[in-house]
Amino acid sequence: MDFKELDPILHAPLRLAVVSLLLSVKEAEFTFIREKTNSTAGNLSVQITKLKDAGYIEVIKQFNNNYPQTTCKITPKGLEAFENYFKALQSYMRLGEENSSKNQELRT
Amino acid sequence: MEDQNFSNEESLQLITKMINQAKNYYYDSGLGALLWGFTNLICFVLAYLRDTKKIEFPFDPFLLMIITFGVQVYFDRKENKIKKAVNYLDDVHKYVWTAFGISVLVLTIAGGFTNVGYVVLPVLLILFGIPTFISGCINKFTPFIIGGISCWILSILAFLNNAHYSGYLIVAAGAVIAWIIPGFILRARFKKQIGQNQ
Repeated sequence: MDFKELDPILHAPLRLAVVSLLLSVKEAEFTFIREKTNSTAGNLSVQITKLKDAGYIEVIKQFNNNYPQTTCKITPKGLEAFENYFKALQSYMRLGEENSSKNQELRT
Repeated sequence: MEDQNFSNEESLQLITKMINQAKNYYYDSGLGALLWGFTNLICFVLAYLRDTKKIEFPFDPFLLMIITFGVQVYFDRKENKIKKAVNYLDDVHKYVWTAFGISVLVLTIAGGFTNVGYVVLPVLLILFGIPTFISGCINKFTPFIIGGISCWILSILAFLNNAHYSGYLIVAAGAVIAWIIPGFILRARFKKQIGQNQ
């Protein structure tokens, strides 16, 4: 079986949460993401910058009623990275299940 | 949420949790349903009163819908600024209601030019039912589903009524069941949601 390494950009709780959230919506505001991920503005800002630098999300900064508004949306590259991450995750979990059943057989 | 490594099971749980969080985000203030519900109610009742010669109206009551359309555009712009996330289903809604609006426009204009008379009314009720029912099914909002089905039942009633001008009142009833009542329910739910977030 061929195992791919889990994408280090996505294999971090907050970054994975952001990408999973953006996967299900067309676009979301920074405050929405912060609320749903239950994170601090500072930490979220850092993680969003990392995802943006990797090209996984697009960040749009604009003004709404004189207030700054940051909107994020997933990019095709981010979507592909998530699919690969999910496939890799599944293969690791399948291996884990196979190993545990083998161990049980050996014990019996 | 700390930025640290975590197990495969934890990441899978996190993905599921976040997808569900986003899926459950539904923004509808109910204003659109109330606005169009009341406009239709007023227009069709006025049209009935005009055709039965109970009142004289200086212009076609349906022209009031042009004002409503302007108000709707204003509400949409205002609400889009408040919305924190845009769902893929929001697009589906937009397309379904746009298609409905165009269909109604085509029907009323073509009906007006060809002078088909009151037979347009039951057809209008069939059209009312389609987007209302779809919206209800997409958002799992039963009052809209009931409203959509009611429009189709009322349409049968309007056909049986032999396309009489009293069909205007049946359409007005359709507007109450399909939009005004669900609109008030949506509005109450929305205000409760806002109260919880504050």
